[in-house]
Amino acid sequence: MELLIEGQDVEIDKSILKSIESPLKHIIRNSIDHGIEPEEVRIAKGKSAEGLIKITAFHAGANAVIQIQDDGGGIDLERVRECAISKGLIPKDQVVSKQDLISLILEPGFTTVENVSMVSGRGVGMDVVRKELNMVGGSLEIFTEKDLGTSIIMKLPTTLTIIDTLMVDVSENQLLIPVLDIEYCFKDCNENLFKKDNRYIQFKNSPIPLVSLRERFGYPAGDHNEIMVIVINKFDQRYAIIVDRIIGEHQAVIKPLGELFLNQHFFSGGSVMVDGRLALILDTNFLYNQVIKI
Amino acid sequence: MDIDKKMSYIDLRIGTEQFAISVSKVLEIIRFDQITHVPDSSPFVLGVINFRGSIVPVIDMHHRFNIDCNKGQNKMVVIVDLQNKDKNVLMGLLVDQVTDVLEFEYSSIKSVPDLGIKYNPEFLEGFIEQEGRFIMVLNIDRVLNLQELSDISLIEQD
Repeated sequence: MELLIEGQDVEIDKSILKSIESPLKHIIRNSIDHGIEPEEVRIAKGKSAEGLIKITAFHAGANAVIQIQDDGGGIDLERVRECAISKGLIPKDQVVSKQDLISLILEPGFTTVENVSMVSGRGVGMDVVRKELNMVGGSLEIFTEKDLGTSIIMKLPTTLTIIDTLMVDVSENQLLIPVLDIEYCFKDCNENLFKKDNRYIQFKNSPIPLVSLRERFGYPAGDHNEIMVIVINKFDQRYAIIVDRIIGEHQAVIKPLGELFLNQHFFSGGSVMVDGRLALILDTNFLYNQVIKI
Repeated sequence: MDIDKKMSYIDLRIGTEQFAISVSKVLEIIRFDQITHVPDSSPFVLGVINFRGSIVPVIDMHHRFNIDCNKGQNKMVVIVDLQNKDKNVLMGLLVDQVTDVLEFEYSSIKSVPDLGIKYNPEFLEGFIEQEGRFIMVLNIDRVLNLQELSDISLIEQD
C-alpha cells in the first residue's frame, strides 16, 4: 500500500493537534482495513494492485483542512440503507439521497457491532470521530464513490484562542462558559432545587448531578429566588451548574491567567470584555471531575 | 551597580506605613478600579485586572504585610515587571497611596535590624532615614515570590 502525504507545512494549534490524533488514526485505520480491497479484487476491478491513501493538508480561510483519501471500494451505501431501514431510521421505500445516507454513518445509534461489520467496517466510531472534531470546533465531511474510494475531510479551526461563550453572572462576577459545552439552559427557583437532600435534577429522564457555583466558589447564598440552571454536556456525561442569571453571548479571546494561578483549576483563562473588565472562563472539564467526586 | 549614584524610588503608603520601591521595576501606576475576583486562589491575590490587554494579578500588600486596610480610600495599583527567566512577569501591587518619587544612593540604605521589625525581613532590602522618618525599601522579588503566592494550601479555611 502506498501512503502519500501533502501539505506537511500546515500549522495548527498544539491543543487541536492533540485532539485530532486519534480521529486521524481511526480514519486511516478504517481506510486500510475496510476501504482498500484485497489485491485480487483490485486487479479484477482494473485498479493497480497496490492501494493508495493520500493525506492532504491545506488552509482554507480560518480553517485548516485535512483530507484523507483512499482509492478503495467506497462505502457500500446500499448496505447502509438496508441497515438504516432495519433499524427503523428511514421508512422502507423512501428515497434517501446519497449524502443523507452518508450522514447516517455519523449517527451514534449506527455504530453497533452488527451494523458496523455489515457496512464494511465504516461507521465504527465515526460518530466518536465527529464528536471529537466538534469539540474543538471542527467538522467532518465524507464523500464516497462505489469502487472509486472514499474521501474524508476534516475541517479544523487553526486556533482555539477564540471561542464562543455564554456570559453568566454569579454573585456579581462575570463568568464565561464555552457554548460548545452547553446543552440546555432553564430558569428555576432555589426552593425547587434545594429543598431535597440530594443534589440531583431530572433531565431527559435521568438524574444528573447539580453544582452551585456560588457555593463552590465560596460566595454567600443569593437572595434571588430565581436562578438559571445550565446543563453541561461533556463527553456525553451531563451535569448541571447553577448561576444567578445569563447575561448574553460573548466571543472570547482567551488569555492565560499566568503562573500565579497554576494551582487553580476552575478557570482555563480570562477574556477582556467590552467594558475593559476581565471575565474568567470556566473549565468545564475540571468542574466535571469535581462534581463526579462528590 | 554604582552604589553612590542616586537612584529613583517610588514612595508608597500601605496603611500608615511608608515603603519605597525601585522605579526600575515599575511599569505604571494606575488607579484601582474594577477587579475580577478569582475563586480558590491564594489569599494574597485580590484578583486580576486587564492591563494593556493582558491579565495581570493584583496582590494585596495589606494582606502580605499584615497591615489593616483602610476601607473606602481611593487605592492605587503599582504595576511592576519582575523579569523572570527572560520573561516579563507583570503584577499589580495594591497600595493606599503613591506619594512621591525619592532619590537616594543605594549606599544610603541601611540594613534591616534583627530586632524591632515586625515585617518579614526577607521582604525588605533595608531602610532609609529621610527627614526623621524611616522608609522601608522593598525587595520586590521576594515580596512577590511566585511560588509562595500561588501556593494554594495557604488558602484560609473558614
